[in-house]
Amino acid sequence: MLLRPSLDDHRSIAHDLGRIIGVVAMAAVVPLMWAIARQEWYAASHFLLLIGVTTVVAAIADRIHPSPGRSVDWSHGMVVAALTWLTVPAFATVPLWASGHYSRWVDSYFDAMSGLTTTGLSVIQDLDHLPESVNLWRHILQFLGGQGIVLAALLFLAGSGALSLFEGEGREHRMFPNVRTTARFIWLVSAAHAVIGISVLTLDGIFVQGFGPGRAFFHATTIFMAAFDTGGFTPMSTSIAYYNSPIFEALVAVLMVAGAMSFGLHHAIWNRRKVANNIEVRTFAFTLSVTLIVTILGLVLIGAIDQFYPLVRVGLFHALSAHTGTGFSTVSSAELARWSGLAFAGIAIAMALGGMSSSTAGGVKSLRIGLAMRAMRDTVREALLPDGAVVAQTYHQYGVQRIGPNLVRSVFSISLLYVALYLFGAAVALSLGYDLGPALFESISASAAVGLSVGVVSPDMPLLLELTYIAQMWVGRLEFIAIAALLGFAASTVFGK
Amino acid sequence: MREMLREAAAGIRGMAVEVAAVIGVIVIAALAAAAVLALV
Repeated sequence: MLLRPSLDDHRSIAHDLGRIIGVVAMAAVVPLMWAIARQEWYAASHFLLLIGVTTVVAAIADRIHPSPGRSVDWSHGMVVAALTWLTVPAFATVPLWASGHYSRWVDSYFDAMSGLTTTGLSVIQDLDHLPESVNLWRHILQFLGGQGIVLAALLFLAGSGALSLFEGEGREHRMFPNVRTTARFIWLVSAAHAVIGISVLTLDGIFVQGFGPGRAFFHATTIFMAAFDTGGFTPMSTSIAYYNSPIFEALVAVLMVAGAMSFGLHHAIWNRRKVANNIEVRTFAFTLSVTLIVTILGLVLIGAIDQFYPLVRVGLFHALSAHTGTGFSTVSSAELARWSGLAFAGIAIAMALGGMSSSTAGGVKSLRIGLAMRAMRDTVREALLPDGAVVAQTYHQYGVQRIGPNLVRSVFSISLLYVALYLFGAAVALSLGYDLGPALFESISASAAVGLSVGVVSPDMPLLLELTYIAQMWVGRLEFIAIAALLGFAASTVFGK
Repeated sequence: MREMLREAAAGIRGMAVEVAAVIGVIVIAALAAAAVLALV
């Protein structure tokens, strides 16, 4: 029997959601200041409107309190996380939609969802003439989503239910017993990369690209946020090809790898712990190498690239961009669409596998791939060994861990759900008349929060497909469990007793 | 102050590992490209 949530449950959810929406108000101050500095008064007024609306909502939510002494449970955090990724993009559309660069409101919601889920697919029109402050806002959305708007709320506005919110966001691994300390470390890693990353990219902009200091800083900041949070938005419509610089691409590659690394791995490296036997490191290195080799072989076989240097440069950048879930590109969507056969397979598989857990990357993730491979190996070993022989089912991740039946069930369940999600989006696109290849490619790109596109995602795509991709980005980012909790909560509200 | 310097050193060490990882991938890509171009 379903138990109908009490009024206190609804109050508690509204209270926490309001606090998170308050973070949006704080974040919008940055593009507002930028708009004022660049004298983009029209955009500034929209950011003021956004700040006003979100502040009022947060203030109202702050007054909605559950009864004293009420504890927040696991499913509560999941519901808040799922609702956060639905409602925050809606508020975030204010400056996007008002910019006039979207033909319908859903397009601006698509971009906001794409930003907050660190996907990087975009349906914006005439990006190259978008006001800088609005462009910055798109990238800040990626930064907020990547660093975890929930974590930001925990850090600045921490209160009850902190741990359940943290788990609801799909970051399973905890490095510290205290979630606030974990959040601080995540922001410390981000701050260190921001200082170094933005500085180096700014210097590249000034001395290699020939930009002025202000322009170089703007491009460095936006690209940093998109790269480190494995987002994929870029300030210019031609993505990373705009810079046409191998040095720039190498710098971005380092940031993409950093973004796809789990924060547990960052913590281990920072503390001089051995990571060479870590299951995620080994799996990521293996799958990246395989997909990279497959992509390079494919590019030669279809005759797309037949020279050593461009083969290394283009093949490596796209395999890395796909596997880390970033979505940057140095070729156009039309050219990417011509990558058939093994090149298509290499990039598509890399996208589907994704980066490491507890990172900003999406997809099935290296930990699950590694555990699935280990579980299958152990099963074969058990079958081959004599009856009664015991196979030690363990793996290395910050120490020796045991592979239990619950873990294996969870790994295979989530992995299968991802495959189902990839196929679902492809089926919708197929039903609307798209070819299988592009349909599958775009579906994986949306579900695994990558952002590479072969041209299906465009301002004139059918509304049904656009809504499907929005749903895929949302579900893929939250890794299913939070969505199931939200659906369960909604069903309990309607049918519960 | 000492704590900040320690964390800064740890951060730089972490980024050095990331740079090394990218260099490793570049080497794999170069070897793969050379092998594929030689064989195909």
